Amino acid sequence: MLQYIISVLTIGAIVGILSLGLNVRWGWVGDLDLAYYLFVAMGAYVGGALQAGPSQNLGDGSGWILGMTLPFPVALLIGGAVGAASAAIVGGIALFRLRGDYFAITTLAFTLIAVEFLSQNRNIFDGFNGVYGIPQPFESQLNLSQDDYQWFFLGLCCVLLIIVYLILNLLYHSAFGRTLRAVREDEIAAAAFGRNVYSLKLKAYVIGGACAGLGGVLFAAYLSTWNPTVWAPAETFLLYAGIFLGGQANSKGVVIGTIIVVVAIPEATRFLPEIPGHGDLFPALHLVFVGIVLIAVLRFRPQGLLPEPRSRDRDNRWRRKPPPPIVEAVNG
Amino acid sequence: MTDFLHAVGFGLVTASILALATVAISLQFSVTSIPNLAQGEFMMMGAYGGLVVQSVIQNVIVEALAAVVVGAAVSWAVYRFLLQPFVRAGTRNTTLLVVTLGVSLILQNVLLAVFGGSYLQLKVPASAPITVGPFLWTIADVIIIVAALVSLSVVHIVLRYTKFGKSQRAVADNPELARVTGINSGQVIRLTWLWAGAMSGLGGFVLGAQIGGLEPSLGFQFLLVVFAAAVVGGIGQPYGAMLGALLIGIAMEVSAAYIPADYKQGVAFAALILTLLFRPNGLVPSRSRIVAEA
Repeated sequence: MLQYIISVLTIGAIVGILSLGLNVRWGWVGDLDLAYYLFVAMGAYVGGALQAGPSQNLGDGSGWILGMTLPFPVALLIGGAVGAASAAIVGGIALFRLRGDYFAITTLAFTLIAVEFLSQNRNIFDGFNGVYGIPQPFESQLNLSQDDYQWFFLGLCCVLLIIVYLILNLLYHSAFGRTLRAVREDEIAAAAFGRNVYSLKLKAYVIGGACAGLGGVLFAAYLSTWNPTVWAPAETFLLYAGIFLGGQANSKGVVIGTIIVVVAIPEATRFLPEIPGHGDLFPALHLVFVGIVLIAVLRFRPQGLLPEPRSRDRDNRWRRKPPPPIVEAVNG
Repeated sequence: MTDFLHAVGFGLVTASILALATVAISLQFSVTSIPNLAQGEFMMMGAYGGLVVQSVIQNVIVEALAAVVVGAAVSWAVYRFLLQPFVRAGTRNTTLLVVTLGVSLILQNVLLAVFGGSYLQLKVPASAPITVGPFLWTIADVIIIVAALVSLSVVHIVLRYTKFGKSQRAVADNPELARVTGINSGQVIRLTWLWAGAMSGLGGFVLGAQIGGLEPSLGFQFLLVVFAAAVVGGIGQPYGAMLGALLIGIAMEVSAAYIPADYKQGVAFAALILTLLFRPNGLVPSRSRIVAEA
């Protein structure tokens, strides 16, 4: 039971990192990006292959490229960089002219092309088989028992979640974060004040891609494998449901919301008895429930459980205590 | 050359299926400007409706009618009970897109929960391929093409020659102005959803008939191809949608004759992305703004 709770918490921490990255794109700057799991997958594939070693050659040219046995931290950083780089390419094309619905549909098309391409091509990341045999980070160096190692991995994920959270928090309150929110609120006004909207949106997109890549490497290490079934477009929709439930643009909110949607709701049905011959029933009902929650939140509490904090007026002190009226000063 | 002409023949069948769904989404989008990601599920609800009827009566016409009725009912109900409250509250279009995403998630998984995830066979009158002019078609293919031609003619007649079609075009041009001139735009919009759903249901049924079976996620996979056809033709333009469906359908099947058929959909998605980047208003431009002006 304890092991089970640990594994659930570990997944929670990983999807927390993923949701923080997506929140930069949707919550901060307002781009409805449906390609997010593409960048998670890029990080996971590359980071996984870099650790898993050269793939077995079956003689028909299938297998994965980049097979190496690099240590986990190096693979993690490269995975994040790959996520960011692939986001720069997709975002650079899609954000150039498109906004709103058209941007969303284009990113969805990019994802589906990538899924199709990587599933059919067995000589990049081994098609449907994907990359497998990814070692657990630091397991061979630490020499821990199975139970202790699970705790260690949970700790690792939590530490990374906190690091990502703190970095993004700094960015959110920086001048850069404020400008992003200005672009979200009114793109034309931001452009009129001399902001380069395309470059700002692209930067936000790349930051999201870096978080996706990092989270992807962790995810692949947790699953010890990565293949096209793990990153269907529906996974991105689940993250959105979590972000809307938790509160768009509120980092704490999106982590909590995503953990509820992606982890807590499916785990809650795990203890129900399975109906023989109908294995699809509970996963299907989980997604039906997520859809209902998503629509209900948008309808009745669009700001989410934890709304974005109202931005404070930096000139507030003048409002509280107005400067002495000039007339009096003259008379005095 | 024969191979090429056969590929064009298959392309015409795909184009007919696409045209039903694409004209439906374009009609709906031109009148309500809601990008509907649940359309693929409307198609599947219709198709599964036809499948259920098939277990009772084996008659293609009755099955297709059932698909039309179920598709129309689902589409109308989704608009009336889920989307309309959002529209009244003045929700942004991007948020409405997320709402339709939620609807798609719900409907697709309701189908999965009820019918299971495996392929269910949809039986249609089988025949050996027959030669029609330069093309090679089965009876089912011919039925699909005829069904599409009849539906598109109905669309043309209604849009051009009926009062409803006229008010529909008026609402598409300017909803406020239409309301001022005494058109009940609420009713026009609801009837448009009903109609678009009917065509989607029929589209889903013929899609299943061509593939020979149904699976809950089939509609969502097909939807992006539908979007590609709608965008290539000029989004929100029913006549452009017909042209886009023809181009995408033939491009997909002809490409399959030269590159692996697994990339058929990729061809459509690439056309979608390229059109949005270089000719965002499509081949038949409409007045709605697509590219950000900032």
